[in-house]
Amino acid sequence: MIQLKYIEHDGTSHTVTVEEGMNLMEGATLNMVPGVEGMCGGICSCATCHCYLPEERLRSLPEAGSGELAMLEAVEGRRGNSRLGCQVVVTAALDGMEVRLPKSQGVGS
Amino acid sequence: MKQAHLDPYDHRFHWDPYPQYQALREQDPVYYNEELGIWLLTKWEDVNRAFRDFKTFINTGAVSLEPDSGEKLPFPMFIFSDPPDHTRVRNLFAPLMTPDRIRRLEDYTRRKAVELIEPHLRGGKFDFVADLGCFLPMDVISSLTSVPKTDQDKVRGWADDLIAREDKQHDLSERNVSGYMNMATYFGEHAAKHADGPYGDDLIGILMRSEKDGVLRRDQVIGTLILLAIAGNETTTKLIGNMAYRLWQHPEQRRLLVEDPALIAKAVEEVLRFDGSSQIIVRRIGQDVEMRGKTLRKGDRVGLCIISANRDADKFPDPDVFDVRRGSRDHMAFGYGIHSCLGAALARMEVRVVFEEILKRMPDYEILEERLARAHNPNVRGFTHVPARFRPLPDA
Repeated sequence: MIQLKYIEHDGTSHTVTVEEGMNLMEGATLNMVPGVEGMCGGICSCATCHCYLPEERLRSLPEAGSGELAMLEAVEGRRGNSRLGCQVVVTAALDGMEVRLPKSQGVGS
Repeated sequence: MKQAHLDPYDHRFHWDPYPQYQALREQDPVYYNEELGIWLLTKWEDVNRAFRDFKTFINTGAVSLEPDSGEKLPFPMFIFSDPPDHTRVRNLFAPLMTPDRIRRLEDYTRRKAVELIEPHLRGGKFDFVADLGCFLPMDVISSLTSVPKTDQDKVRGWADDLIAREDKQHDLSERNVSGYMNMATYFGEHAAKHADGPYGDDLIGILMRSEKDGVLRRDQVIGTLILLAIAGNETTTKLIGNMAYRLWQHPEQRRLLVEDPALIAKAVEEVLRFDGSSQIIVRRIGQDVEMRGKTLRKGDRVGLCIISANRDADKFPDPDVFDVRRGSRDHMAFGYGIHSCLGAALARMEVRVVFEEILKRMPDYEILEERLARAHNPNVRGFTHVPARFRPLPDA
């Protein structure tokens, strides 16, 4: 199991364990971490698992695909280190990573 | 005041369930149906909570309305499981179902849709479900599971057998079970045929490779193929019918789409909210929980009334107004969260493409209301026949 620390926009942090092979969205939703919606269940179609990853970890990850980049166009508060959690698979290399969450996942009519 | 009551098996109820759902939302939003032994949640907030809190509202042994369906329908489907097992299986298929991947199927879908529409253009008559809706989703999902064209009618017939319910039939009938077993036999042979590869980049390829790698057992492969034949078929078929019907009922809305086809994607979202084809999905209570002053006990079954939640005035302003420009993202027609429909992007693409092609060719279609016919199932809601007339293409 891999340990991850999700940090909400107000600084509240949640340290959880996640099985390898699951993704960062599931790491949050399966542990009921607030601040990640994961509305579409991981098919990269809702952009409600937006998160910010540390630059040095980001570099070691496979790059975001075209579908993820297109969805990221629509998120609020996009930064250089923005990713969609559902597209980042948890591996041993991510152990101990801090995942920062945005203020809003932009849900709501 | 007459106490609100709801029988999801009542055929009359299927024609217009919305007033009854509204009464429940207002009078008894956490409603217990004694006869069926099931709770029904009708408010958006409560249904959303149930979708998110997967430890309290569990899928193992639930999802369909009939409590004994697990024993009668024995091939495991991942929809009937919970994390982490559920997540592991689901993640095998998720990369295949993203909008980006689904885009590869768009040209094929459009070609098939046009092939189904064109022969009717000179006659001026068209049935949205019987001439198109019932064929197209099965064709597209079959292109991912390698079910040959010659077998598709057969598989669809069995899927129809499985979901058909007589008026107020509360248990699975012989017809339902035999439809299921026929599919199980067929997909058993189908899996055996594909077991040794080659393992393509499609659903059957992923299934069979996962079996070879020891990730899935054969009974799970068969269960998944049955699930795809039902889920990849029935709900989208019904959504096409529901959309045809609602656009006809709201000609001014239809006009907006004819004038600006770019709005069709948004209109699909509004049909999903206003008249989705997945009516109720069932969970079991995993640990005692209080809801609006009532206690739901561990082991209780609870129906999440999706189409009611999507008409909840506390969530959607003027919920009974059909507005193709509404653009709400958080309707729960595909569920919400970890069990959310894997085929959502596929369904959205199929229905959008169908109406892009339909509205180009028969923008003035008139539905023959007296000849509408309905499928009756407590989970899937929609028509079997949506006959229409339109101005025919002149002879060349």
